[in-house]
Amino acid sequence: MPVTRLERRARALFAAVLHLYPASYRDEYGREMTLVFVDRLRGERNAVARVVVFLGAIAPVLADAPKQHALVLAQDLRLALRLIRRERWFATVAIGTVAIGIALSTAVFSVGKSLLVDALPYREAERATMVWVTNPRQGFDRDFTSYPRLLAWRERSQLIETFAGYTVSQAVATGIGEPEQLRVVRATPEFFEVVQTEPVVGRLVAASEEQAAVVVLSHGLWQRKFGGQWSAVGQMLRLDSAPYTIIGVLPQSFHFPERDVDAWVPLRPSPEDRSSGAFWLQSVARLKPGVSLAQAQREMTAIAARLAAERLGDRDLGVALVGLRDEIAGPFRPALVMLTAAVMGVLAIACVNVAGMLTARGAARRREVAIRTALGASRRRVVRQLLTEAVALFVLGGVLGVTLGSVLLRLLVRVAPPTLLWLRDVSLDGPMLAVALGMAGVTGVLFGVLPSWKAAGADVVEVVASGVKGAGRGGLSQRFRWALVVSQIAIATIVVSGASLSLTSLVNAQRVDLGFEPGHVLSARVQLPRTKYPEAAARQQFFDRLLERVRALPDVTGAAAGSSVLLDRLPNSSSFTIEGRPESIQQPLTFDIITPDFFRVLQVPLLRGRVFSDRDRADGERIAIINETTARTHWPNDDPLGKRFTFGDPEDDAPWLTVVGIVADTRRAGVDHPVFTESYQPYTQDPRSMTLLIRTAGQPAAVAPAIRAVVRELDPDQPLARVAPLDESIDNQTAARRFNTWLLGAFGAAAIVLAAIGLYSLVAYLVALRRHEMAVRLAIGGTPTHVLGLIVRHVSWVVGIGVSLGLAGALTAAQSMRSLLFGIEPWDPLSQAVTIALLGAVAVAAAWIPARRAMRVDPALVLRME
Amino acid sequence: MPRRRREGPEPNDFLPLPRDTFDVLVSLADRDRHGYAILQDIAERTDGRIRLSPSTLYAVIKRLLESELIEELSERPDPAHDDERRRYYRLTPLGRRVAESEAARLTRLLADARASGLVPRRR
Repeated sequence: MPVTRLERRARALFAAVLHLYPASYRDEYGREMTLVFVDRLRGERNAVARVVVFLGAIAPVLADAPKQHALVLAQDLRLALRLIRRERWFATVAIGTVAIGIALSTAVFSVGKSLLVDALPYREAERATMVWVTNPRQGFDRDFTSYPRLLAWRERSQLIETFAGYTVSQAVATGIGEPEQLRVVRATPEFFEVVQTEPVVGRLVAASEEQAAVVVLSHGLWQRKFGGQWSAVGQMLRLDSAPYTIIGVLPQSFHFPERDVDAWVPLRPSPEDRSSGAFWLQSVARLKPGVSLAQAQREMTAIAARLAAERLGDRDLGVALVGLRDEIAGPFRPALVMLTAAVMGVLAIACVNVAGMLTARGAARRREVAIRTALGASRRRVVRQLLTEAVALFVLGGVLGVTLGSVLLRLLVRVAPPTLLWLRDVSLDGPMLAVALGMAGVTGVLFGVLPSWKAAGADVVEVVASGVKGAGRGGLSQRFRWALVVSQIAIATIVVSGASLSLTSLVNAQRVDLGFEPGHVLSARVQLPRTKYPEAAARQQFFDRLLERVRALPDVTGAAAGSSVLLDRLPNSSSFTIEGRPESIQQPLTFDIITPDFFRVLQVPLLRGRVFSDRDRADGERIAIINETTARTHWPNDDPLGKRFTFGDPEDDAPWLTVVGIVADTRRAGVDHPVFTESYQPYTQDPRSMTLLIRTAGQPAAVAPAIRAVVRELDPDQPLARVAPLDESIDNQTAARRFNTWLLGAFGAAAIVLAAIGLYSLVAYLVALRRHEMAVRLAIGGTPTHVLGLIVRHVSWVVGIGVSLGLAGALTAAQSMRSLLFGIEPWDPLSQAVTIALLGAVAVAAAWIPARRAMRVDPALVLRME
Repeated sequence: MPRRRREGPEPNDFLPLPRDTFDVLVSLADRDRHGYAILQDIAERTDGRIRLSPSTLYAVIKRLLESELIEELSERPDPAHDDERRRYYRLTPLGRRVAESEAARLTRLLADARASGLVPRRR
């Protein structure tokens, strides 16, 4: 039968479609299928029937081809897994390396990107900035401001659109469900113009609502109290008994200025608030469009200088603008920048390590491949199998890497300090994951297959005759491999050194003497609503009875109260005037109201004079206790006992406080803060909200239920807030340092493991390459020790150069980490010695296994094989 | 109880057979055939109702070869008439037993259906 043109075309088309099948399947059945197809085509006479035959032949190919691919892949994978099982040690190390590389790079990168790059959950967040008062003379770099100063800033600044002031406090919520103590932000009405967001329901506070009794709820409170009902808007919520109308709900992602704020209300400043010079308002501002932070900072510095010249209260004060991201992520920036930059390096190292291992293995398998090809295995088939092997290794490594990565990320998020407001919603970064997996995959394909591809094409006689010696030609050049291992060791040194400095700082910070004894002390906050306890006497009576009953509890050895929270925010402070001195002192003095037992419970020693007693009541002489630093600073040549000072205006008949005692200094705000100049007054002033401090014989947390019960007995509507052992607050303070240590530690550990693997595979490769030489050396009388010496010399060079380069890098990096260091210099000899010792030990361990193998070379066996 | 080692697969392990597979086995029951001959035979037996496509046919053949129900002939049965490019297939003893078992199974099914009056008895 003559072959028509149409038939030829149909046949070519069908053959083309057959390319959808795996090559092996096509090789086996393709020709047969085409023949059958042509036969069927010829069996039909008319054109329509032929078209039907053609389509009827094509369609099942489309359906069947993927199935055949899956079958071949499954077969290859089974084979690959069998090989992987056979070379268990190699596979474990390769998979582990890929997994570590992927896990570490994606997890650290995700954290870094989220904190340093990702958009903050506020609209145009880059225009929002914290505004801090600085007082270089006293060492405050971040202090609150006063209401008049906030107004002055707002009036004078041309570059800043608006300023908002706010303060975070507690309030008791009643009226809906159980009474509950809430964290409430009281803010000037511009607050939501500065930190912009869209409410989930309702609206936000408007600029005109300075005095309005309205409240915006957090997403959490809305869910808790109203089950997420839209009808919450418009309802009444009582805060400290005063009614507020709910006008809106914020989105879940909105946390500002702290993570656990429940409600935002207008500040409603009292006349005293408006005129007071006290430092009590935190402030945040929004730059005008197109204005840079630096421009705004220059303007604010000038404004602060003018204010200092005009107003006594502003002398020595400056202003610092800190962008929101810096405010939150600032302490972590050095470590994060370093790590995020190192991430790509580590990933590259992991890939290069695996490449090195695959090359070494390819060298070992050159003979096998060459012989198999010579025996008739198709080159494509051999390569396909090698490829599947490499892919299987990398798929397993990838899966393990992604799993490890999300575990690591969750771990990092868990140890992240609560100030990292939005970190909790982080997941593994998709693009980074793709890059990591892609890099690993390409490495696998390139180095898993290329050397063998060459081997498969090489002359079998030459390959077999050259033994392993020829293998070096198939892979990376030796010098390049040495350079890679040196750089791995250098990177590991940098990170380990950083981790070691960070850990030492953490330990140092935890060892710092706070000046008081936080162990075995439970702290709890009680805030009495002004509406329910309008009289100072009633409030005082409440605290008297409360403390009396708490003291009577078993296991309680002492109970006191103070107006500010220890180890939390900066204490309230104010400028003051000493009697007989012409000018008021602009260095702020803290003021606290305390019960007589305060210093005894905290175990702060009294240096001179006396502590307060129950006789020091409101009607008597106004008295105060100061700390040692205050005495030294303001009465350097005098005895402060009996001297008087005032926080008010001396012209204005303000009450004078007589110093009756001097106590030892404490670091009340925590280890990172300086010792303040402090003053204390007996709790006769306005003990509206107090922090209870209860010293216990046993675990402080154990008495919490009993204390709650006492408070409930006195007033069933009165909640107890922030009940926690005092040393827990110290833990919170060290959270930032712990987080850094964790980040660097995890990274350092992985970097060490990777460097060890790199060194191991390098030495193993070296030993394999030089087996012949070593055998000869041993045969002509060299000792195993001599052979070991050769290897040791090599390894020492690599490690020595790597560690030296690393240390130089570490010192540079440590300079940028200075702010994180505590009680330690970047060149701290002990930390660096530990780093060197650790890396040295790891290097010895990594080199030991292959080196021992080299020592045990049987010269007769090796030489016979050649 | 001592475990008896099995001597390879039993015919019942393959049952029930997919329709295409059974058709191919049946067409190889009486003689060895090449691919196109199998197609033609199936088409004839079913009055043209079943026309396997080449890809379906060879997917079946591959499966049958792998499970050793058929084998490829190394010599051609009828050198004078055949096409030298063709590959010929033959039932293995196992393949024959499998086809027989499947036929028996289908017969039993049919008998059951007859007994229940679902299918008219043979005249």
